Amino acid sequence: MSAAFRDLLVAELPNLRAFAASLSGSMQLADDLVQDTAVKAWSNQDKFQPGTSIRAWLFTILRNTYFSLYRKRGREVQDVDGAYSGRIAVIGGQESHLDLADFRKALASLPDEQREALVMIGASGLSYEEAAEISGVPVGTVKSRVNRARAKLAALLAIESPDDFGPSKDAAGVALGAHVRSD
Amino acid sequence: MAATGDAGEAGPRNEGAATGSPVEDGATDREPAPIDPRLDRLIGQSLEAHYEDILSAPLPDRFLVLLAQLEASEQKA
Repeated sequence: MSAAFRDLLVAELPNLRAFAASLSGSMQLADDLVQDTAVKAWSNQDKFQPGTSIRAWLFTILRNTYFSLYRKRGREVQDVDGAYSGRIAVIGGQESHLDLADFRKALASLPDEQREALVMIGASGLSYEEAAEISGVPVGTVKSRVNRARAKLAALLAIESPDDFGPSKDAAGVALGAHVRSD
Repeated sequence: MAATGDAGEAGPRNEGAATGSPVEDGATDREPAPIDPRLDRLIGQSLEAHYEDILSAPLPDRFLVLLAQLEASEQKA
């Protein structure tokens, strides 16, 4: 069993890192968090039910570890600017997005629960049902958190009124007061 | 921190969410006002770009070392 389990775990490591970095706001904390998660998952591998989503199972371990052990640490460190140092590079395949450093700063300022829900739904490819189970809350609460997170990001990243948006992406970038990348 | 700065809380909801107050979890209170669709799309794409950036980064060696250690310790046990 353990070789197969190892392969499953390795395949999920990039996703766990991305989720952990999103939660903690720091790559360094994220890697500590992923390491803790991997150790716990390994020693509890008999509790994983084959055929169910290993991603959801691992995310549950990771977020519980974060909320019980790391949340305070993250607040103390909270070095968002330097959190993902040197990797604000241009990303291919995206139509247009905000400068990642600007976006990450805004993301880090969200309440933990809202950020968690937003990332699970908007980036990790989990369903509302999976996200609800991972967080231990009803589906409606996940939806509400995602909506609030988006509204708060919009307020942080945007401007006074939608009228300030120009017709083009460039104009939107100016109005946002943040750099828009079209690459 | 920007969360409580002058940019925020344009809508009807001001829940002191920066401190994670219990109100945050209320599934029954009002939803936030609609967001400009272009801005909403930009936020969605930025979120994906942020995530993809980390997904595509090389995996640090420490994880492969860790898994080798875990496997080795299991074989001894």
